[in-house]
Amino acid sequence: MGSNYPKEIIEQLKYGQGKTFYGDATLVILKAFLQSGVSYLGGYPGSPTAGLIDAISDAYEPVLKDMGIYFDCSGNEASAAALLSASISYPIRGSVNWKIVGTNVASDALSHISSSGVTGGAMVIVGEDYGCDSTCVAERALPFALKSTMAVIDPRGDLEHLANMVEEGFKLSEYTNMPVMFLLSTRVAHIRGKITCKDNIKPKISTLNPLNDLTTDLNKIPLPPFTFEQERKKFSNRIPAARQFILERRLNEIIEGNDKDLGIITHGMIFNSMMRCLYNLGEANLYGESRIPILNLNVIHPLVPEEIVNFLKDKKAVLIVEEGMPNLLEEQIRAIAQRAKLTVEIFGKDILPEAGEFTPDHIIKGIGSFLLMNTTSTYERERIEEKSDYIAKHREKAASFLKEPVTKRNPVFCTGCPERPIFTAIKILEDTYGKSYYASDIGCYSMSGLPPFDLSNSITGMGIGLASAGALSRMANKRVISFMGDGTFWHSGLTTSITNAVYNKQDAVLIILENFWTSMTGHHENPASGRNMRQEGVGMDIEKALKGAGVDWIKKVDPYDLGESMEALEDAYKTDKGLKVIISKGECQLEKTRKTKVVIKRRMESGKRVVQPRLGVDPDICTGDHSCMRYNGCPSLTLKESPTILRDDPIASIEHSCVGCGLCGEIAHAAVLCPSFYKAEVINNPSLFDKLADKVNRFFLHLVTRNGWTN
Amino acid sequence: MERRSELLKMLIPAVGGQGGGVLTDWLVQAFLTEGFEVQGIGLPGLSQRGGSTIYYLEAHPKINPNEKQIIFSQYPVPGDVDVILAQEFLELGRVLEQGYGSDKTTIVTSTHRIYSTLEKMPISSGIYSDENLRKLAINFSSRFVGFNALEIAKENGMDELGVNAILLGALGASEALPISEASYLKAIEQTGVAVGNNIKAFRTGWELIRSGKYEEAKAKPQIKWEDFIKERAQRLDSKRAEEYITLISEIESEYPSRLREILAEAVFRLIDYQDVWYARKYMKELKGILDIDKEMKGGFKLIELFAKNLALLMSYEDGIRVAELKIKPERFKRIKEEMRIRDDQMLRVTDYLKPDAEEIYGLLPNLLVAPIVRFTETGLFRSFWPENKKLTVGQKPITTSFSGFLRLWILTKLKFIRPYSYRYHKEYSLIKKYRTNIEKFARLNYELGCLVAKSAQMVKGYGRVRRKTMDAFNRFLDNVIKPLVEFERKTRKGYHLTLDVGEKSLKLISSSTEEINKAERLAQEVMQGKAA
Repeated sequence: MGSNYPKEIIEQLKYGQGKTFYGDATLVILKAFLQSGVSYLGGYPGSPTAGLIDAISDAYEPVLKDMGIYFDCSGNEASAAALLSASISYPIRGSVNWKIVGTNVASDALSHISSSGVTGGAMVIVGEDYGCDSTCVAERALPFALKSTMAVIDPRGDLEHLANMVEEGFKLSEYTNMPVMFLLSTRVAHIRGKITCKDNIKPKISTLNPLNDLTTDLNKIPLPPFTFEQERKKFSNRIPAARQFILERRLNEIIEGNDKDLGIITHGMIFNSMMRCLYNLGEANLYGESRIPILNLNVIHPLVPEEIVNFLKDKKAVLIVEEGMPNLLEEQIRAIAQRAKLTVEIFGKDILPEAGEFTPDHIIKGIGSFLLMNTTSTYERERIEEKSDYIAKHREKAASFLKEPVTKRNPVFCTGCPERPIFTAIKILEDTYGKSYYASDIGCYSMSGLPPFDLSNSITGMGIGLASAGALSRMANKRVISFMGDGTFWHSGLTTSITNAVYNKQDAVLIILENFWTSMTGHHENPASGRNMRQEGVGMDIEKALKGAGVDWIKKVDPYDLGESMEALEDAYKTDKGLKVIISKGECQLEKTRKTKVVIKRRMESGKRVVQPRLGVDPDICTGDHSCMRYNGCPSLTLKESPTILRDDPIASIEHSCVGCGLCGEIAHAAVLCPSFYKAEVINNPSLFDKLADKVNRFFLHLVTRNGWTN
Repeated sequence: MERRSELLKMLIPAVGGQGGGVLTDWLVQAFLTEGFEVQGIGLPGLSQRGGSTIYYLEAHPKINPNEKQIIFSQYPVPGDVDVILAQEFLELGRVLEQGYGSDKTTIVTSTHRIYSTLEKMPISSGIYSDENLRKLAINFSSRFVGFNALEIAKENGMDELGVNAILLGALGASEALPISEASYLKAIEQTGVAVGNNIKAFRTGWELIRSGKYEEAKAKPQIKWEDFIKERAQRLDSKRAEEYITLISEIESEYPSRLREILAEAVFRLIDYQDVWYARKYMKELKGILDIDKEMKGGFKLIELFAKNLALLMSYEDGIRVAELKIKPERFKRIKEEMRIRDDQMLRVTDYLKPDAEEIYGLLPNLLVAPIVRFTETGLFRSFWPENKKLTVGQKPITTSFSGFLRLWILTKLKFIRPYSYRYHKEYSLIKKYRTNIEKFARLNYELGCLVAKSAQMVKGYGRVRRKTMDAFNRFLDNVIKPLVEFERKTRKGYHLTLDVGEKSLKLISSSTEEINKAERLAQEVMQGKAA
């Protein structure tokens, strides 16, 4: 991976007490880890926690290694979660991270570790993405923590607070023997700002100072009969300890307001949006002072009944602003109130939307109706109504201003991407072979389901695509084609999909897109990269693994040779039985360009011969039917005005950003489209042979045409 | 609790991978230098791959230490954004459509477009209207500063990422934010991304706004009529140029002046394509429609549409035409310029040519080919040569080399047989049908004539693509327009239904030629529905 953070930024991680640190939320979290004295870190990259892996990986050599911190480039989320086992019996602090859906993969390990309980602080940073800004489903991490009995920290959106909550989280984990889940929502993860530092703590137990004696404590093994005792401890020791800790350390925040009758309970980053809504309603200022009392939960599991009852009692009505379903906070708070026989009226998802991200327009409307229900003054009512309706009305006005809505812009494969050509090949072959059932998977290639390809019938989860078509392979008269990236292959695809397919004699075509990087998350090393994130060489080979798993039909293709890919696909289509695997192997273009740019510059400067290709479209020859676009979708292949005033529609054009992969030319060939494409190669520092050939060439050209093409 | 307005909220809509993150970083740094409390947020994820993406910033002057901390929001609030700094015009439109602009918003935007995949895919133009975007921007802002930053970047020798610093400079000069020039520059230095180039770009943007130059109307400079003719005449040999001038004088005397550029271009194109005889043939075809236009007093919309499309149909792209265009000296000159070739560099051009069977035998005389083609359409032929088995000749000649050049050069010498070729015969029968349909329908209703005249725009492409569009065009005339006209002629006064369904059909076909099926169904359903 190219380093994501500049050196100077990473150097700040060494800062001590009182210095100001500038960075994004993930760097701040890493700094807080160091200030907490962690011994090990790990995780599997995914949005929005991918930045954390970047930060750890970039900091490994310059900072972490010297502190003796172990960094595990975890194979998947289950491996990452399993890492926390180190904290079960020893006073070792550690943290791992993954995106929300990774929790599903990790949950087996999490269940067991939570049952055993931990001695050293163990923290999972989970990328909560309820607004689905990345490939995931709208789910909360909270239910996982509830069923396994982990504490859950949901910090509000403020970097200083974030760092503080990480430090508190480790203490909480140690005080309660529970692993702690720390939710990092997309928007919080991408905050850039500054914090004031504390000194880093060098871990007592580390790679530099390893454990000499290992203990065996059967009580911590999750096997009967010990599991019964472990479960008892969860509810009689750990949860009560957590409640005590939360109260004593004042982890949840209360804003005392003047209004004695009303109150609002909210959580995490929703607090920030809600305060803005109150400010816009004229009910609060920007500095965290509000007329209505607020209880903000930074720890959403366990809740502290005492604290809740204290807040609810003597109030007439309280609104719970909780994002996401199931609304476990609301249900628990209602139960607490009922148990305490409080008369307060509680509102929640009855006046706020059940599903979906809580954006300010939703929140302000909810608060508006809550206030209206509890205000008698007509003047006040009118004011609230006007202000809380303003956003919705304004949005409506803007949305209806144009008759034709602004065209959507979906993400696309990058310029020169090696994953695109195989989808082009499939699309072209559809003309002859018809549509297949396309079982997609998680990775950049998930975008094959979007225009212009529209090649996706299902996305079922990571490494699961091929397996998801198991029944349909036998029960539908359609060919099954599945896609899988190298990262996904090593994450779980090999076991979940491939061994399952061989074992069940599944008839399907699997296309493995090997580009040596986990690119979607921002170019993380994976076993196909040949190195891990600690930059240690590893020799793992997809083809060997496939053979070992009993796959006989394997073909390797060069993605930029469209003819070769189409031939391999046709072969696979014509072979009836069994699993056919095509490995399309080409390095991620972004990463490749990043590397070759430097090399080319150096070669050119030292006078060596360098040929730079770029594709072009002849504007007089292009008729503007845009069929090339419907097979391609390359960002550098775009539109421009036709050179002739006779043609109203735009024609195709290739921008300077073209990297010369040649796919558009290959498409024009393979799909028999048009003769508009050409490849122009610039020969820098031409050799003697080039110059001689040029002379001969010109001589002959002059024979047929007066000046050849050269004038 | 009085509302204070010192809080600044800025939204940066962008296209993934175009440097919006760095732009946000600069602003965060600049605010920090000015002593503000600031929060910047980027939202990558899926959007990093050329999709829509949004960055959001909030800043507030530092408050005295005994006050509590500012609580920033991570979400922008619709109708409550002070500055929108947009990297691309469609993305500006998107956030405005979502209600982020209001009468207190200053908009600084680049007006250049990065077309989205959905805009690129239709057969005709799917480009979203710039005019719509501009209207939206003016209506949902207090101040609108829009200029094509990409063009300015290119004029100043920068790549597309230069757009960001140019926009930052423009924002700085617009004084929409309380940040000094020095603080912006310091931020660029601190962020450490291509510092030299970005400072240059920043100054370019700054100057542009300060000098007010961006507001100058960017209307295309009109080429003078004389120059328009001269430029074309120069590209013909002297004999043809003379004849060209004669034809031009005909155009000048017989046609309305607003059509003369179109006709001059068309006539030039056809002389270049075949010869003067061919251009005269074009003028003759035109004459009939011109008379109808005058007769119907339609204002020359019909003749304009017909003139454009007829010229394109008549200069259908066959192998000879392509070969000629591929070896024109102007072509190599253009490529050299585009590639910015220096004298010490060499150029090699490889062409991707793959004519299919019809494009090859189409060049042969009609008398020879027509019977064979009829045979290939029989079941006997299809039994040993299935329809989807394609016969193509793929080749990638290096056109800058002697051998590659020669192959194309020889092809251009076949021009003389073109008017006798199978392809010419086929194309011309379509042209005839096109003309007679216009004649027929324009007499019934002028707008109807215009619709038919316009519809020929769909005929384009090469090989299979062209055959599909020709088929769609034929079916549009025979199965959509014709029956609808018949239907309305008997029962109704106007042709509103035909016009409406016709327009809808054209829109359908413009997304894909397969949609002609839907268009036909639509026509049927409409007639059944209305009849009942």
